[in-house]
Amino acid sequence: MGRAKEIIVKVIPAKIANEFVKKHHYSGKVVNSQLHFGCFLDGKLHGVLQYGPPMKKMHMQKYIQDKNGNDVDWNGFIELNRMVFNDYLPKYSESRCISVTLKKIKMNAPHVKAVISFSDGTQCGDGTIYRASGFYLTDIKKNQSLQIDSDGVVYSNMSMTGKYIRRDFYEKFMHKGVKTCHSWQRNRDIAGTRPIDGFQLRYIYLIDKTCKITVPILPFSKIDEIGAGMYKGEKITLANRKQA
Amino acid sequence: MESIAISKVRPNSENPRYIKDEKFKKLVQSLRDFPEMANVRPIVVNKEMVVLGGNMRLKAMQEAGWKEVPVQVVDWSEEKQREFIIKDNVGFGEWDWDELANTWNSVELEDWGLDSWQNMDDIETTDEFTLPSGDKEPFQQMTFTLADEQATVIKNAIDDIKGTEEYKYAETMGNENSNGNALYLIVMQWAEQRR
Repeated sequence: MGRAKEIIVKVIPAKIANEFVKKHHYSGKVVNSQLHFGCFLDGKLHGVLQYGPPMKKMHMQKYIQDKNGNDVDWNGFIELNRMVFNDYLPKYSESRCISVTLKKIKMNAPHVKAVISFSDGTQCGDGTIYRASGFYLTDIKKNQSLQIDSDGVVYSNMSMTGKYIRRDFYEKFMHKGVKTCHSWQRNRDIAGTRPIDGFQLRYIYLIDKTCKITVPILPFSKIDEIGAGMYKGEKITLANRKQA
Repeated sequence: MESIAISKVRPNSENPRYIKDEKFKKLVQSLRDFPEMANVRPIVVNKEMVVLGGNMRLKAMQEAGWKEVPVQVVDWSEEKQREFIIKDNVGFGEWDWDELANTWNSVELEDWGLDSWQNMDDIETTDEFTLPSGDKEPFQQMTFTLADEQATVIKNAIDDIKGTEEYKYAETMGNENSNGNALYLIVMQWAEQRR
């Protein structure tokens, strides 16, 4: 593991984490998070992980059951929203930092039974780090939630509606009839955005090992079968990566 | 470009920028370490010797004990002077942070005044935290007291909106209560009008 062991992981203020994410994440955007970890090496901040409540809690709740076969509580899930590291950090830093944060969550918030995360196989990757960190792959689906407009601007579906509608999206398309009270699908049709080509992969990590995942667990080979392989924004199969 | 007595150069009282103490100290040190830079990046002044570009540097030069400073005098309209003050400080490019991390020395970058990687000592960190617990559903009921006439108006509005195309496409966030969804849509439409 080398120097990755020397990384110190601490909870840091949201403001610091958000600034780092805006600066270094490929999307340049932050999402609603409640727990922010900073990863320090040589006394400097070089990585951030942000966790928050899942966007679709009702769906998530059905993915996990406790040892008695009951659904987990509404707050029994947390979503790993953003994970950003710069290249200063050595190999294996990501999996080590995820591991440390999971241990800290288990210690400080024992009611959190599982972590969910989505891998963006349209612009980023198919979740190499999650697989290396013991997450289960539970879904691969053709992307619908990341939309792109004719100018190449990318929007998440949740930012296309409601109270948190993205200002630039709203202002650009309000003359066409986009409204905050419309569903995102309705606004998509009005604005004429289309989904980015690629896939979204859903991963789940069980913090409480007595719980069980109720949705099918997919073998990682499914990624190549479906053609969802992506690494650092380039389409590439898992098989070809092993050969490289 | 010419070199003139520092006492003749006047700071711009309308300068819209400021510098924090720590950064100012770095700027002073930077001038001491690399004074030649001032000759290729002179202070820009108008004919009245008021600084248009380089207010911080002038202050740092005074602090560093310089007697003379290189200046570039410009003869521009008031409008152009104001435009320059802003444009001179706008950075159009972006830093490639991965490139900086890989091929530049972070200690040097910091000495040179670039906020690269934040010091752990400057960040408030902790190992302890809490997260919301409990089995709270993401739905809630709200109760209001209304006059009979008010209640009738609201009921009618809810019924009306349910018959519209807008209602068919409204964001429900998983809520299956039709009255709740209709009320939300009414409020959002009101909010939309206020935008």
